[in-house]
Amino acid sequence: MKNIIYCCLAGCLFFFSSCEEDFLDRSPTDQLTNENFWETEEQLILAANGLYANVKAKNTVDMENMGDNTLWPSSTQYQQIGSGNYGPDQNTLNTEWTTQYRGVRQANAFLENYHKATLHDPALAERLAAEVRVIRALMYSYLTNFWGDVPLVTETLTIEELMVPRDPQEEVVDFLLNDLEDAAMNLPSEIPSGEDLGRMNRGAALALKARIALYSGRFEVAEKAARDVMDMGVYELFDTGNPERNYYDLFTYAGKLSTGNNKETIIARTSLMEVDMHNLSREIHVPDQVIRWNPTKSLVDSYLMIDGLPIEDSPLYGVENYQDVFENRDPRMSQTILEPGAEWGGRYDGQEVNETPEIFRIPKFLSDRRGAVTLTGYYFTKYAELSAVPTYRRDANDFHLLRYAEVLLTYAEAKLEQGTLTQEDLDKSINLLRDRVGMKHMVISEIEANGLDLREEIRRERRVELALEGQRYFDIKRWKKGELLALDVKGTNVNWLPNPDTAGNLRTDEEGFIIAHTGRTFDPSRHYLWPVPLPQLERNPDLTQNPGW
Amino acid sequence: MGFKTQEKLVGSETDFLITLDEDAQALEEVVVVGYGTQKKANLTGAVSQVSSDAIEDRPITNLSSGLQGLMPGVTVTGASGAPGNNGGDIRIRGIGTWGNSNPLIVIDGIPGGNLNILNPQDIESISVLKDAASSSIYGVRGANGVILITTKSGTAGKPTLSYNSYYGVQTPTALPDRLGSPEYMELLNEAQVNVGRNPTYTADEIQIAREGTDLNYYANTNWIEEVYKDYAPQQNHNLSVNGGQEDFNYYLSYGLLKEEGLVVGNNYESQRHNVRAKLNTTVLDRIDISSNIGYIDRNYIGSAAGTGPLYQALTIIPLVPVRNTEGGWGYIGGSSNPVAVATDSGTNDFSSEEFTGNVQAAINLFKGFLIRGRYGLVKYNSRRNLFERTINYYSPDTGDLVWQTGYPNKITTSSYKGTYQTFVGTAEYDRTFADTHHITALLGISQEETVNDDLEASRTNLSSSSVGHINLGTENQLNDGSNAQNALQSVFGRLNYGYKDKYLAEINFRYDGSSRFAEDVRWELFSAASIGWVFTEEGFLRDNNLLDFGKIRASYGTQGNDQIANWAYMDILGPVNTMPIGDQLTIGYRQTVVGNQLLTWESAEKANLGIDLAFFNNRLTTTADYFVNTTENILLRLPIPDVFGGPDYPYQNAGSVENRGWEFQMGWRDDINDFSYSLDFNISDVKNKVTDLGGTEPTIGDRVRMEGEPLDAFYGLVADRIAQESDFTYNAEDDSYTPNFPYIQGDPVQPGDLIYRDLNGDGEVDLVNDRKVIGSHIPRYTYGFRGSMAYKGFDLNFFLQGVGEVNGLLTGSARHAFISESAMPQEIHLDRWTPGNTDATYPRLTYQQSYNQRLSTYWLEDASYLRLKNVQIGYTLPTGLSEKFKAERFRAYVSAENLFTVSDYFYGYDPESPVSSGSFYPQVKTFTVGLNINLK
Repeated sequence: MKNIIYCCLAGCLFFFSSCEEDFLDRSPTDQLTNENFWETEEQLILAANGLYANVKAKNTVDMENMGDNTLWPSSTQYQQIGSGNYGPDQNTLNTEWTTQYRGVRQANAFLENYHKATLHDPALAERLAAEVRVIRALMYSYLTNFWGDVPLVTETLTIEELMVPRDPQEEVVDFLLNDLEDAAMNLPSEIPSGEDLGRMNRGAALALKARIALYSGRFEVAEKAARDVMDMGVYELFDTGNPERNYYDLFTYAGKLSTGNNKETIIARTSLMEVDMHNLSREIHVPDQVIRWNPTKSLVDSYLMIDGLPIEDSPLYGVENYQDVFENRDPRMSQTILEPGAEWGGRYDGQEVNETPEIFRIPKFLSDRRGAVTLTGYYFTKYAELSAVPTYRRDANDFHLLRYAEVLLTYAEAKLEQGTLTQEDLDKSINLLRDRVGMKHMVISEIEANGLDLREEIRRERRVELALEGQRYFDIKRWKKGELLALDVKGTNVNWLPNPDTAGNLRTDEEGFIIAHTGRTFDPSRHYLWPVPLPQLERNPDLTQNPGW
Repeated sequence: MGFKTQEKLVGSETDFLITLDEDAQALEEVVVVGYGTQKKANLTGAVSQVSSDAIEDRPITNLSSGLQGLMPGVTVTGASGAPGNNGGDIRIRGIGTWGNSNPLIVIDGIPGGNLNILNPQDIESISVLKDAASSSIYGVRGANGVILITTKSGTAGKPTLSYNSYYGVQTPTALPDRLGSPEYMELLNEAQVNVGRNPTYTADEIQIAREGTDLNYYANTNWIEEVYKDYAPQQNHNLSVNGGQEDFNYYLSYGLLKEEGLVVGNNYESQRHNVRAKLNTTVLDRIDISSNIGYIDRNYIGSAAGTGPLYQALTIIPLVPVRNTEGGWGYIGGSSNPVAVATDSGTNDFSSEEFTGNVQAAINLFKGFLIRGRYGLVKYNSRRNLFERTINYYSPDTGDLVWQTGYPNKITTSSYKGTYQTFVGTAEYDRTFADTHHITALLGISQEETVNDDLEASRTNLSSSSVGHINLGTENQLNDGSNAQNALQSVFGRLNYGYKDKYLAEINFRYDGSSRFAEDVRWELFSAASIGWVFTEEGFLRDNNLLDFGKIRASYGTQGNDQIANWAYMDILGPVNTMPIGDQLTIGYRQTVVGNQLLTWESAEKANLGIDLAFFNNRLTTTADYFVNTTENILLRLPIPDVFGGPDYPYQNAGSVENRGWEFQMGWRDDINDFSYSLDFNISDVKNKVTDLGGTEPTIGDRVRMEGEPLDAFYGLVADRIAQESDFTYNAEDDSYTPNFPYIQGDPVQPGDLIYRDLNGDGEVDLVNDRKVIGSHIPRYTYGFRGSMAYKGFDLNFFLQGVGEVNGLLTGSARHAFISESAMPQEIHLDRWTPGNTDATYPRLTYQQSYNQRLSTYWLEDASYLRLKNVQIGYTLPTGLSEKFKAERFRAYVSAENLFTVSDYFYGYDPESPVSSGSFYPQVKTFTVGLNINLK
């Protein structure tokens, strides 16, 4: 009996002695903590790579839905914003706020910690930090474009430090411009290639600086930054030698950064087959539904005639049937808007009998699910990589967030707004864009002689060149042309169609143009800025709301 | 209640025996409590216990759904009918936290088990610890209440072989009714015109659909009928042997449960094998040794697309044929064909082997003093094979491939391993001094550890499209893994004092340390005290004829809850897929957790006042309780201003929640000659209220966290009615209507839209000032009524169960039409507002606009219900007859689960549905026939 008791006591003792102090001290074995990260070069590269996940992908193009170039068939939130039918509770507002600040924190964490690592090559750490600064500036450029004044957060905040007010837009922009200038110093000039393909470089910092400066009306800074990019001498417009396809090809696999042929794109969100794919091309020509990207009459009408005159003024413009719309136009038009006779992925078009579904001839309005239906009578071709149309989400086309073309446009506009634009300036900017596609040059004297407005023409050039690249809404806002967004969205004229009966149930105006979307509104007293998202206002009483909201 | 209980080793063993001899001495019943047992008469805490007969012969596949309505204060929500994966959430006395509010499950003394995979036939009793007195001995894990499961043990005597089995069929309790193609097309056109868009379909096209002249592109398919089968079979077989001698007994059982699914394609099914072996023996007259081994082998298969096909059945347009005229899967764009997906998209096959082992030895060192050691091991080894197959859709016209999903085919194999180990040592003392002072004491230590190790691998482009094995994949070989661990160390104890069984007192404590918190805030003491007064032991009541027993009890104490992520106090960095840099798959690192060093557990304070009474020779027994539970320092991811920029909101200790309520339970049992019957009724209410948000702003959204309101209450607009043309000023010039009532800026309000009430009267409706709490999902007045009667060989059991007050909500495609591409019209949408149908029940149809569908009183559902949860009629052969088959007992029965329901809930769904847009497996009714055979 005694033995049993001793055994038990021994057992208990054993148990207590096994209760080591560190039984409760555990740390993750499958992840790293802030204490044991930020040590090596590899870790710094990993952390910098992680930042690139924040660069907007297809979302860049989706933002085009806020403008007047395209009509989405259903009411996406971007479209609700563009049509003025939204309030501070709209999810997209909050999503944009949240995702941009998520990127900002990630960048701030990098910038706070990167100097702790021991690197073989200290310049590498500074280069990575500069890349991170460019991405952070990109995040902030959206924030301040959407909301104007926003909290300028430059370090990782603890949960006690979150009741921050909004900082004036001017201060935010000052900060971004300085930060980008600093970043540019530490970044290489050459276009990244090989293992670095897709990384931010000096051109990215300067071109983004030019964009932010232009958007905030700092034309002198914009001009200088744009000229700095031009003077780098590493960028040139994408040119395959075929003016009829140059521009179109840039937005297909032929223009992907990985081909090594593209020296135009400065900031891209690259895609990769099987790894990072999207659905844009299919959305453009989806062969069994209504296409998601319906070009508007407003966009189609904005293309000049080949003589350099707007359609209202040019003797070359005379439309009797649908095909005529595309005749004698700025060549960028048929490389952006699908022209009859062009290849497409939308299968059976509006023809009753169709032996060649791979060629588009007549727009389709009937939802018989056999081909791509348009709401406006037009289809895009820009950004449609035909090989990616038949399959869902297997499009590996890159997104071109900032191109050299934009830098040239920014240069011309910044010069104009300062009153210093010369023909020479045009010849080294906008006329390069026109040369690429074989379009007549923009000549100041002619514009004056024709009674056209130079500012209007420069803006038209920007709209046409950058159509479907997500810039239009921001341009409308900064040009204070909000009333454009309140107009009904129209399409082609049903009287031009060989098959007008298939469009029989569509509303049209007196002249026969399809009215595709009504009920739009724009209130200049508030719609130039987004309302601060409701959840953010609720959580932080120190945030103020934008005027009119 | 109401069963005399015997026990083998009085004191505090959890593997004890209860034989359920019906006896009026109900209060001699022994109740399982934390680390022991107590006589019910001596209990000072709030404990409910049910024995196996409450769930016997019901077609319950998981124990949690079987508990619904059985005990006051125990509610179960969210159970679904999905084979093998259908457990609900158990809540004890309301919802104490917005973190993890699952109660602690203790199976045969081992904490942390999975209730839902146990074989219900192996259960001896279920005991629920509801107040601090009973559960604070579980310290840092007791705040949400504790459920103690005791499995069956052997009984001394000749071996008994039992065979129990049933076969049943399941059908959904409710399904929505969708409209056919012509109505769909007409209503879509109407919805588009209503928002200033052009209609999609011409009259000719609608005619084609109506006449069915183009079955490839204008079909008329009832997708709900196509996706759901009429019924799904279910069967259960159980074999057990039990017996023993004076110092040795055993219980062995095997159970098999098979369920098939309600979805076409035969991809949903489950199987479970349960084996249990339990041995108890006494050596040297004073050492009790017992072992309890459970083994579970189970698997369930679903579609690789999960509940996708069920949601798609709601969201696909009716124009799509199931198959086209060429025999291929029907597809006309837009959404996936749910029948194709359910049949051909591949499978998600989960299989698991779970072992629980538990050995203990107890030594009676001297009179009344016992030392006990227990080792418990729970090990699971699970695998998931997700085989996603390519589905090709071909054009019926040209035979071209027009659509493809799941390309390339892909296999993902995951392995999950978990080991839980615990050691518990206790010393127990039980003595009565001078026949008046009864003392029991318990002191214990324990430590436990959980380690999980997961590994996942995937490949694509399998060389076979029918056989899914990782080895057949040819491309994209990827892998991933994770490891998690946590540990707990504790010292605990209990002291009971009883004076002549009249005055009772008890104190409990537990000192816990948890690895989930930083070192400085790791340890905490929890304690509780309780007292009881058996007033029927007083002289003045001793000789009355009416009241047999009466006790008042009161308790107060504290508990904790540490159920959060393992490393919430640390800053963690993890890998993330990023933009492909250098034209290759690129991995980046970023912070995945922002830690909070100050994080510590939630603490709960619980007060309980109760009374137990027994009348008429113990035929009528009642128990009533009143309680106030307050949880403080609630662990939560508090939504914070997003300038924070974290990947997720960090956990904080903020806020408190109060649950205040009452419970009442009444039982009656009697025999009249050959007729014996019993009735049990219970009802409880709990009022939930957020009392403090820790100084932070309220969380506003459709579900709100606001001081003074129930947790996650529905927060919305008050909708008055549908606006009529007379509510507007008409402007003939531009054919526009200007509302003459307050409305939300930005809403294009027209006749037929909802009028929301301007609560603050400022002339404008806005979401900041004009929303309020309009309901709660937390059930109030939950009740159950159970009756059983027996006359000669016949027996009848019924179980009614209900909720008196609760709200539910169906969103998106489950409830609305045309607010998105995937919201299809149902029968009820025909009654939408149009200028010709002004007394409509549904607002005008607005394509892709949802300003009428914001959360408002208009859409909140009354989800209260009363349902016949189970009814059962059985017949037992007379002993003389059954002995001819060498059977001690031979019974056959028919039973129905969820036979009928009374509710005002939305017609297409069950009132117990989750708040959802329809992507869930439906609740089911089950009809079964069964057999019970005992051979001796």
